[in-house]
Formats: sequence, C-alpha cells, structure tokens
Amino acid sequence: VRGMASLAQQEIPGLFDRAYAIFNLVKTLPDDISDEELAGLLHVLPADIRSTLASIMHRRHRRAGISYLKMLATWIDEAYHAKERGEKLLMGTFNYLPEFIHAFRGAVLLTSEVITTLGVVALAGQGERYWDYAMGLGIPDFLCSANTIALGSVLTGGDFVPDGIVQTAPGACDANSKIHEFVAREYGIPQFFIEKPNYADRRGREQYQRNFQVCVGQLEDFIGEKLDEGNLREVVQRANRCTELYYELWDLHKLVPCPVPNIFSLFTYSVRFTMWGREEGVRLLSAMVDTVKEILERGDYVAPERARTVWTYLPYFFDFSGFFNWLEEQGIVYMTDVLMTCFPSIIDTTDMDSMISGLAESAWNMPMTRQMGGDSMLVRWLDDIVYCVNDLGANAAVYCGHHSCKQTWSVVSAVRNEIQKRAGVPTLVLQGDSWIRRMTPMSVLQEEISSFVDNVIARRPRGARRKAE
Amino acid sequence: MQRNNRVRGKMRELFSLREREVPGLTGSEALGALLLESSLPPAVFEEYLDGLLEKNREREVSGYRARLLLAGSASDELGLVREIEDVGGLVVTDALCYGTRAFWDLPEMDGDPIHAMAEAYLKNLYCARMYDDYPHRLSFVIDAVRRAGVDGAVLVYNKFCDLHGVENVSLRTDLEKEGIPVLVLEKEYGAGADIGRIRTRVQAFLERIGG
Repeated sequence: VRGMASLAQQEIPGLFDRAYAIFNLVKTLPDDISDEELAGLLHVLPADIRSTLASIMHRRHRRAGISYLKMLATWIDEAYHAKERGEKLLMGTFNYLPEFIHAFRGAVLLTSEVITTLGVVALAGQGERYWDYAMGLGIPDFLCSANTIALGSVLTGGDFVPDGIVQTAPGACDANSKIHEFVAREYGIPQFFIEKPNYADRRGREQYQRNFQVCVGQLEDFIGEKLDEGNLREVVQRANRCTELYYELWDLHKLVPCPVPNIFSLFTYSVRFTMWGREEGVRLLSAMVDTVKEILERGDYVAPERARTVWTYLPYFFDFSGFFNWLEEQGIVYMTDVLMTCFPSIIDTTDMDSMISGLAESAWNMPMTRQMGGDSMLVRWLDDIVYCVNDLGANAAVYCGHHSCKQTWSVVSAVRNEIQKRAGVPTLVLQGDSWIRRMTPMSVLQEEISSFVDNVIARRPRGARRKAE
Repeated sequence: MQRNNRVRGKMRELFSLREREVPGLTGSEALGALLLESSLPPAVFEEYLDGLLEKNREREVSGYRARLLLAGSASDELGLVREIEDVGGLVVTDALCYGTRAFWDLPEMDGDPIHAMAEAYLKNLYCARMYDDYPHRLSFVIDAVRRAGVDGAVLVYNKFCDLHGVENVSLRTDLEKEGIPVLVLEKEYGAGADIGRIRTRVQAFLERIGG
C-alpha cells in the first residue's frame, strides 16, 4: 500500500492540505460582510463551495457563520503547524472528547469526520477522489465515507501523517474503528483506546471510568507531559460554559415557530467535535444564542412552519444550501439529530479526580458511544430519539439512511415503529450517503422529503399527534 | 474442560490430516466435522471423531488442482467449501472461526479452571474485532500457510462485515509479500445466493495460480 502511496503522492494533493489552504483565506474575512460583498464572493467560487458558503453565511445568521468559519480555521491552523511546534498530532474519531486533548499543551486533536466534512463542503470535487483512492486499495465500498474520505487522503501519502490515533469507536462503529486501525498499521503509529464495556449498569460505568484513567496515563507517556491540573481546570470551565450554551440553544428549539436556523445543529456539534473547552467554541456558541434571540425578537422566519423534524441519525453534508436552506424555505425545521444528542453535564472542577471522572462521564455520553456502543443497538438510540421528539415538540422523524451505518440500519424498522408508538410521530426512511452525492442526489432527497411533508405531515389534522405514553 | 480439551486435541489431529502433503481429508469434510462438534454433546461427538480419525488416517485424497487456505469472515457454509473443492481447489487449511481458530491453541489446564478458561478466551481471540492485534492474527495465518504448503489463499468476507472487509486488505498485501497468491471474495452470508459468480472467480484464480 505504501508503495502505491508514494506514486499517488505525486498526483493527488492531500485533502487536509487543500482544506488548510482554503481556510487560510477565511482568516482574512471581516467579521461583518454585506449582502453585496457576499454575492460577489459567491460569484467567483466553484459551485461546490458556493453552496456551503451561501448556507453558512445566510443573512439570518451571518455573524455566527463567520465565527464558525474562523473557529474551524483556527482548529485547522493549529493542527497544520502542530509538528513544527513539537506537538503530537493525534487523529481521533468523532466521538472522542476534544476537551481532554485540549488540556494537554503538547498535543493537538484532528477529528477524521470533521476533516472529511471540510473536504466535502470546501473543496471542488468534494473529496470523492480520496474515497476512490481507498476503494482502489481494496477497502470495501460499504465502509463509512465520514472517515474513509479523510483517511483515504492520509493513505495517499500526500497528506499529513498523524503521530497517533485516539479511538473511542469500537462497539459504537466498526467501520470507523477498522479504517483507523488500518491507517495505524500502514504507518506504524500507535492507537489509544477508551473501550466501552458491553453493559451500561454501575459495573460497566465503573469499568469505563477505569478505562478512561488508563488512557490518561497512556497519553501522558506518549505526549511526554503530565496532565496539569490548572490547565485542565481552565479547559473544563470553558467546557462547562459550552454545556450551558448548548442547553440554552436546546431550549430555544422548543419555541413555536422555531427561531433556531437549521444549520445550527451542525455548528453545535462542530464545536463538540473540535473546540469544546476552548474560547473559540464558547464564542461561537454565544454568537449562536445571540443570533437566535435576535431572530426571535425580529420575528425573522424564512417560511411558515409546516414540519418540526427530528433527524434520527445524520443530515446530508454534501450540499448545505440544498439541504439546510432548502428545508427552511419549505417551512421544515431541522431540530436535532443523533450527533447533537451528547447531553453534556457540568463537570465538578474541585480536583483532578472530579475532573477526570466528569470527562469520563462526558466521553460515555458522546454521540453513538452513548447510543450504540454498548448493550443494545436499539434501546438507547430509541430512548434518546423519543426524548428529543417529545421534548422539542417535533411532529416528524426522518432517518437519512446513511448507507454504511450497519448499527442504525440493523434496527431502523423497529425504531420507526417504536417512535410511532411511543411519541406518536411518523418516520420517513431515506436512503443515501451523508457525505457522497453520488449515492442519492439532493434533488431526489428533496422530492422524497416534500412528498412526506405534503402527504403525511401537513395533512394530519391538528392534534393528530398522540401524546407520548 | 479436560474432555473438551481432549476433543480439541483430536480436532487438531483431524485438521492436520488435510494439511499433509498427501491430504487425508477434504476441507468440506473437515468443516462438516466442526459443525457436528458445535451441535453434538461432547461425549457423543468424541466417539464419532475417533471413528473419523481412524477412517482417514491412511486415506489419500487426490484429483485436485491446487492447495488452498480459506480465511476471513464466519463461514460455516459447507456449500461454499464444496463449490471451491468441486472446481479443484482443495481447502487444506483455514483461519476461520468455524475452523482452526476455534481449537488450534489449547487452553492451559493448570490452576484455577475459571482463570484458565478466561485466559483461553482472551489469548485465543483471532477475530478481526480485536483492534491492534493484527500481528497475532497474521502470524496465525502465515503459520497455517507454511504448515500446509498452500498454493494460494482465498480470503472471504461477508457483505457489510467491516471487520474482515478491511482486515483482508492487509492480509492480502502481507500474504502476497510472502509470495502467496490471494483471491479476495466478497460474499453474502449464504454464499449460495450468487454461487455462480463465486465458482467463476475461483476457477479464474486457479487458472492464475497454475492449478
């Protein structure tokens, strides 16, 4: 494989390097940009990037959008220069706690799924070439594009090579765990696991706390730095502030009509996966809360509300405008999805033990670790989705059908039936790939969503939604 | 535990018969015995196994085109192995959970039996689900290849099995480095669903390796 990689290196520039170059430009954007300036900018951009920027910079939430781009630019920049500064560059899975790594001065975390998403939304060609490269190596086509695109780029040999891989995916996602292991093997780099036991009772939680403790020690040895209590406390205090803002946003979703822009779910978990516990994360979440309050005050809604949807798994990332903006134009609210359902807690900052214990609890609750990585693929996922539907007052659920997710596909029929029984709302089951447009084009997805809303949701008599038992 | 260990030892002897230069057993017969082992009470199976060993010790299997290793996802499919053998690829060894992975390494019987059993489970996990343990799995496969003197390896994975799907990419490259030709076969769990395709691919592989 590495022989092929050196050949590819000459032909395919890496996804991360290309994303870095694009996001380097973002730093030059002013904090405020007029409609006219934005129109001019969109005019010169390739179509793939235009859709992204038009959505992120929508007039209703432009300030938060710029804050979002700048947060990601900082995140990429830190990772890009990590090795120059003598820091360890750790590649992690989406359900790894970023604040844990932020607490080390000598390490930077780069989350595979975020890199993939940045490639898909910011680069011409949407990262498909890296997926194709991985397929060319013989990686099966049922792997998850969320990580295989980023790791396909790493495998070309033309992109960065991490110093180590930090993993919390075994059990929660086999595809994710296996492709990271493959990259670790190809480059001879170590992996550090926090494995979740198969049982979720007290014994399981205590075992998980011990597993987390062990990983602290392993990373301290690898990074060559003892976790500093003062530094950890600062990070945890900022993480706690992120938690408060997360719940403020959560509660704002409950208002009817919903004042929270659809894309804010994506912004929220982008913070969760990158800058949770950092000032940049706090800044973005604060900007989002302020923006929602302004929308509420101005009554600035895109269209009359027709459907309030909980997405039981993921959105589609390959066309932000075609997805988030289009839904808003149809009066369809995107309230939340599984990546939002990490339900963080305020961590006790009294001492090292209380903070480590709190971080372990947060890690346990990271998306998919919490729902799928344990005793059942179904029970916890279903409980969370039913809770979301009831708490946010949703009247519909949608499953995106991301093609590689065996964890969710294996139980989707049961989940759909149970959501109907327990929350009284119907579920639309779509089929597509959340990161690759080739699977199902956005136009087809829009058509199916429209039919569902027009025929199933909008025609339901008022009060048709049965109260949850 | 002692009885099961004795049965495992005999299974190892039985499976070794097919690894001989002149095999005493086909791959499908070996798999058939293993499937019986997983269904019958140990005492009944042991009696049957003794008879099987007796019957095959002096037997000489001939008429095949190539000696193959079969490895990968769970494959308790007699039909699949029969199809491979029908076109001339004799499965002389394997690295399957319905195969040598289940009994090749015998548990230590010293000390506390519970502890011994836990040790046996944890030390003999050749499943691709065990992350960061690839070298252990690779050496198990390479040992089987060398013991049985195979002409080629067939690596199977069930559609949607992430674990073996990815693992087989590494196994393929590492076996090829050892000079072992490899066929990677994606299949349904129930390979009969597209057995025609599988037959064609195995036939082409046998031609490629000169069988």
